[in-house]
Amino acid sequence: MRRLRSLRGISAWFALLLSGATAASGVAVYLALVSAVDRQVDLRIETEMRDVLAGHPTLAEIARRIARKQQTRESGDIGFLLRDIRDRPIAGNVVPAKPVPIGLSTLGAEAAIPGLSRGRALRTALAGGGTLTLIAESEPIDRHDRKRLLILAAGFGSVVLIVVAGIYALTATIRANIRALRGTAEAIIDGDLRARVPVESARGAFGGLAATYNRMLDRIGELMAGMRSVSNDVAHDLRTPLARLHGRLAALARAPEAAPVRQEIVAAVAESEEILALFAAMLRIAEVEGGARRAGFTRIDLAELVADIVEGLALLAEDGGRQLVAAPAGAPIVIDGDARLLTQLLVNLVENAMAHTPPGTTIRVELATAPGEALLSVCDDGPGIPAEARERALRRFGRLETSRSKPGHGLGLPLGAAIAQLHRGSLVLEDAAPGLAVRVRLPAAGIA
Amino acid sequence: MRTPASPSPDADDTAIALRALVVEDDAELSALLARQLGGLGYEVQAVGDGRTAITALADTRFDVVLLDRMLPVIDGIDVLQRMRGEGVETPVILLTALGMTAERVEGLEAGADDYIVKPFEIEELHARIRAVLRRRAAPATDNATLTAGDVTVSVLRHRVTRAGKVIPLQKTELRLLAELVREAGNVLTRPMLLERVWGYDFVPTANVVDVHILKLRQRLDMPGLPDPIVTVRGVGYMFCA
Repeated sequence: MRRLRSLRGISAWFALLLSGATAASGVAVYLALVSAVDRQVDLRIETEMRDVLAGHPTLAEIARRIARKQQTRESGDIGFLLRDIRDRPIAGNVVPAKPVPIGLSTLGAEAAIPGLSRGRALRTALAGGGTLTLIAESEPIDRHDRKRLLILAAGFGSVVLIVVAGIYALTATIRANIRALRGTAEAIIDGDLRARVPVESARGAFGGLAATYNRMLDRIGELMAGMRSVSNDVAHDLRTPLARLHGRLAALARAPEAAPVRQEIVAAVAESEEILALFAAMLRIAEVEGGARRAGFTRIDLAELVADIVEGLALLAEDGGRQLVAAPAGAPIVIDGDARLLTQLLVNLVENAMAHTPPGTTIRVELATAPGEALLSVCDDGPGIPAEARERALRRFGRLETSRSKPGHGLGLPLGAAIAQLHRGSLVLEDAAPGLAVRVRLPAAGIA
Repeated sequence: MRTPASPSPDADDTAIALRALVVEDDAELSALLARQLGGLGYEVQAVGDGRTAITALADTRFDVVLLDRMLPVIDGIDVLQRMRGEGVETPVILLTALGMTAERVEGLEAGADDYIVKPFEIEELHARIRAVLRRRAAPATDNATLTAGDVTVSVLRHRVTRAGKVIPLQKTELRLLAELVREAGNVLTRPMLLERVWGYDFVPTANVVDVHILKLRQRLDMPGLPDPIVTVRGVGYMFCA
């Protein structure tokens, strides 16, 4: 019954059951007709048999009666066969190729009686020896009936055809409407908030559904626009005075008369820079989650990109007493994505590993493929993150107590997760035993 | 060394001051910017909205326009498009508070020459203005071999020599040196280097540029020869031939 979940499954089952039921009822009607005709023919030959054998006639008398019967209209189509005590035919007009048993039986073409394809036979043993056999045609459908049957079958067939075509048309309509809804929903997920379901006519169930759906999207769009303008305003209105503050402090730090307090001013400049970096990361996450960057996706060789990034950071890791290594992928791993964002994703993961491990740690960047996806892992052999804290580490501002004193704004991993999601992939934290493994799955080119 | 075309982007070594138009609606930031640029030898005119900017551009010839992305009445992008539509080819650097990539792409497509996210150090802006003017004066050629002083960098052949001696370099080190040599005599800021050498459109927490510069200095070090890379405090690095 699992197949009934799909529209295709339902219509296929429906068409199958309909044709089955139609065929079954045809067969049942035919069988009922055959048995009704048989009963009628049986009744007729039994009556004729009684008539011929009435009053214990001699064989000669029976032969005479048969001859008479053959000339009358009512019984002219009945076949007779009289056999004597030694089973030799002595009168009648038919001789079946196969012996007929005593009592009622059905004859087919194997009896080789000209003009008879199906018949009923009644053979009775005579009191003075010998047997009398009567045979009558029991074919329920004659030549005219055959035509009628053909017409009937054509009628049935066309009904089945019309119903199947109807199911197909209905299915196609439903499918087209579902596809339109789905296409719109996917465009919205990808960040095109202006996408709407095409409405051919506002009447009818589908038109009404599309119109309602579009009104809902309009409403969501209004809310999103409101929210975006608020956050843009907040970002603008907060960043501008911050920018001024930063500019003034930086200028002050250079002034010769600031010499006695320069150290404090430089520290204040650093603080304001940290706040601004936090803003930049927040806005970047908002931008990535907005999904608009999918529009700029290009085909990227992840193997080359990763090798380049690792090469560009190896010296930095070495400078901090850590080792950054990458296993060469060997072959290109092609995905659809945003190279700048994927660069930021990997840089964040490597920086995260460098910030939270002691010197002497080895950070490994690995790239592998699985059916339909690329797997990027950044593993270290440092202290790792306990299982219960991993979820929090991925949450915005979810910095763990142990890392509060470390540099950074705590948005590196959440931004990485948002970038993976933009690519319809995922980012999870695992135990590298020992250490932390960050695993990123990205769909292969043409998949997402 | 190539000779810079007129007008010289090097405001320090020329008598002719560069004329800059600042289009910024935040009066305080605008005044700060005008003061700082004035201190660097620019001749600055500041306006507070897009309409006035368009009028000013029609009246006066500027060497560079510093255009705020978000302006009242007429948006920064609209000002830019109108300018370019009217055939005004003055170099434009967009100033933005948000730093979204979509904005940057939009700005560059509308005809901006560069893009800088607020807040920025005045030196960063100065370096970018000079880079934009240099690029306008002499568009970057895809020269396979770059030379400055006794250093020659062949990017395609991955080969660096100093005073005729081959110096083995890692890929990133070579790309960094190539950028410095290409722009020899000019300051390149950390964000500019991160963008050009590493392809980062964000500033990482750790200072990856400084680490590579240090390594590059060690590699280029030769007895009796001076360090060709000059640190410009609080700004960036410069290759001195």
